[in-house]
Amino acid sequence: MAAFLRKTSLGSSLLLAFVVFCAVATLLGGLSGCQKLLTEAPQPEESLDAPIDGLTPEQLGIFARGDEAFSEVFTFETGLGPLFNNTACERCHVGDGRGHPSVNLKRFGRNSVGVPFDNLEQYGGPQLQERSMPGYPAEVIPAEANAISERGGPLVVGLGLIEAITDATILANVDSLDADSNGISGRPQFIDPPEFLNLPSGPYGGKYLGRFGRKAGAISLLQQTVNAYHQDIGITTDFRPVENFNPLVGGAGGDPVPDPELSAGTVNDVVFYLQTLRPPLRRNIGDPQVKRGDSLFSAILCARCHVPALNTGPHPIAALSNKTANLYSDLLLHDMGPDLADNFVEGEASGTEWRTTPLWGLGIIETVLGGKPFFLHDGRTSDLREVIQFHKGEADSSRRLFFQLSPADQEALLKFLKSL
Amino acid sequence: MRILALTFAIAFTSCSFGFPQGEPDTAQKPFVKGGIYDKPYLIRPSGRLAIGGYAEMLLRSDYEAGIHEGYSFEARRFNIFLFSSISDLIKLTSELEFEHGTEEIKLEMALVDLQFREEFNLRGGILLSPVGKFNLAHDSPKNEFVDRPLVSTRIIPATLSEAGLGFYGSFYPAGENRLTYETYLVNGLTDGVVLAGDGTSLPDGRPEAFEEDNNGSPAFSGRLAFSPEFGGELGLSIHTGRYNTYKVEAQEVDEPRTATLLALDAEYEIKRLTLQGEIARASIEIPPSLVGLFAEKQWGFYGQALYNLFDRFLPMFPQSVLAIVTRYDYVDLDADIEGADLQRFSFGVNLRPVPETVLKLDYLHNWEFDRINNETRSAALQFGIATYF
Repeated sequence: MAAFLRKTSLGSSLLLAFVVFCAVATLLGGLSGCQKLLTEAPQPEESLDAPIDGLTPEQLGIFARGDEAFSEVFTFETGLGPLFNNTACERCHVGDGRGHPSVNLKRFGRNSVGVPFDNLEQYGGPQLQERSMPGYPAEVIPAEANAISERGGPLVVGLGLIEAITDATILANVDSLDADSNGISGRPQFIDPPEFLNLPSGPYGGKYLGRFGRKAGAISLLQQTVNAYHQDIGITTDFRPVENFNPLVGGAGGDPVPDPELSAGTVNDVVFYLQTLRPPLRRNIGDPQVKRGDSLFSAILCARCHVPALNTGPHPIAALSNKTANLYSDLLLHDMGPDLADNFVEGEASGTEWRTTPLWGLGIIETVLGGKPFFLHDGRTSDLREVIQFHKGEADSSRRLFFQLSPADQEALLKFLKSL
Repeated sequence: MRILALTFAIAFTSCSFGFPQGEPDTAQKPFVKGGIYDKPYLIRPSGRLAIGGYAEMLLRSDYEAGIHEGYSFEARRFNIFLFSSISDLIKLTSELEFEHGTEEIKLEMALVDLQFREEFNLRGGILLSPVGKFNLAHDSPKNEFVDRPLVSTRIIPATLSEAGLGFYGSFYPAGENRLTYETYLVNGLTDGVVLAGDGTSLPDGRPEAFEEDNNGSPAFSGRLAFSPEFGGELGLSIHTGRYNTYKVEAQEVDEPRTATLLALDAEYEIKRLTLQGEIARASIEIPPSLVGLFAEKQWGFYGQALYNLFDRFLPMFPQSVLAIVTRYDYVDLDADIEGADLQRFSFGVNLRPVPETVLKLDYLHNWEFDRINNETRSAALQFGIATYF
């Protein structure tokens, strides 16, 4: 048949068409069924960057736009700088996970006894921007600074649920005076809202409850997002339209892109994206060792601060409304002792206090950190035992109880943590 | 100026040493295989002016981390060549590029050659910088894959064309063994190397317009290639110069910073098998406030093997050839850290009904590692048609 076809011009044309068709069909069709060759999707429980269940198609569209903006890498020609720490949101929250220690931020200030904490704003404090556009001087930590706080970017999934938890739910766990005498207090951070949030006077002496950031220094995801664009990337927005300059230098020589560099619409898309990123899914929850670890977690009072679940209230995004957030945090400030102290005061949070870090996603952060997990606010360790060892202050009794457990029980508890 | 003087000296000294002045069969051995004088439209020029070009379209289907991103057609390139033989010794060659439809319209090349003698010719205008073989010979119908090699797009910013002036020529030191050189002073790369891209990016430092140099310091670009009598070619090239605007109206406003590209390319044919590859290394001086975030060293390479399976594959096309081709690409976009690299494996089946036209069917698989060394896999299936006209 092939020989016949090759003998006639019509046959040759058909043969050519047939060869091309077969080749295209083989590759486009055949390979389409071959998942390994055409890449495989990660398992849902090993992935961080998925939308929360229950979004409408329109909301998924906004989610996609926000995802794109979150990934956008800024250049000096698109507004980066003049001062900055990194070039994109995703560089400090890779795969929506926590930041690698190599991209930690630094905050600095002066902590003196008997006087209010000084953010050293005349030197560009409190946040150090050690990067700058060519020809513009970057900031340096001044000699006066005696409080330097190094922090990694936190996990950004599940934040919408955290935002939707009512104040009353969070404040119900407050025990500022340690009334139950368990050595664990837990107190809220109340902060003045920034002007750009355009909020009325807050319910707590004009202030609002802080819940985002390592020391609960932000009220909402909008505040956190606008400030991250402004401080971390040097991007002005409709909300903060004036560039962040090095105060020792001024504005001359700054970036040439007209301000604001980002519209309110794009910022709101990013906020929506952050609100609707699905919390991490649990793994191995049926494992008896994980179950044992879960009960030990409560028994040695870890769950007193790392509260397993808080409920959300009504929220304009239905998918966040009246849900259970299994975040393993009370979102309150706790004194964590000298080993974790940064001596940096942020609002009402002292140099030894930190907001309880949500533990969800703890077991899969390594998937976005090059295969190696980094724990604690500055990513100083990859060893969960060492993490527990650093827990002192209000967590001291839990730490001691953990190390008094049998090796098998310790393993069970660690396995439980890795299942989060 | 010293570089220019040195170039002159080398060129004239070489001539005076009396390399053979015979007339080698340059029709069989073009100055650069696939280069500006090795194109089909020049084989049968009718009269003083010749017009030609090439076109490329493709169908692409992309996959990333298990997600199929659908199918897309693209009219990737439509390039028009214009050649004029002004006299026996003076030629003008140009290429106007329409890329991605009309998204990018660029005069990629427009140069005048004064062909004094085979060993020594003067070239000026918008020229293809001789850094790596691929930058000199990259036409889609010659390219065996739809996508260009990564090292030739991410490290060597092909197509790198710059306004400049210099010399080129060929010597035959022994028999048909040939040595060719190209040396030019060019305007060089621009501030875009650090200002316009995602980190350090030489492609973003390509001059957008062929106007005055941004810093008044020309860059040097040169390539030396050896073609032994038994076939193949080995080329060594360099492109070095200051890229940032460190002088404004004779006032120094910044530290001068240099970007240097070194490349080694090779090609060899053994019967039905054609092997080719290129390795390149870039060193870039960057501002102190960007150290650690922007790369100071980058490098990469590719190796490619093509095997002609069947000649006269289609009877109505006596010159038709069916070939298979495979390529491995690697680029390290920051050699000082573990991540920031990209690997690609490509496999393709090519059908050339005539030498000027190729139908390409490619599969490619990428392993991309970000700066933290997280891996993302992606793949693509592509069907492309490219032809000279």
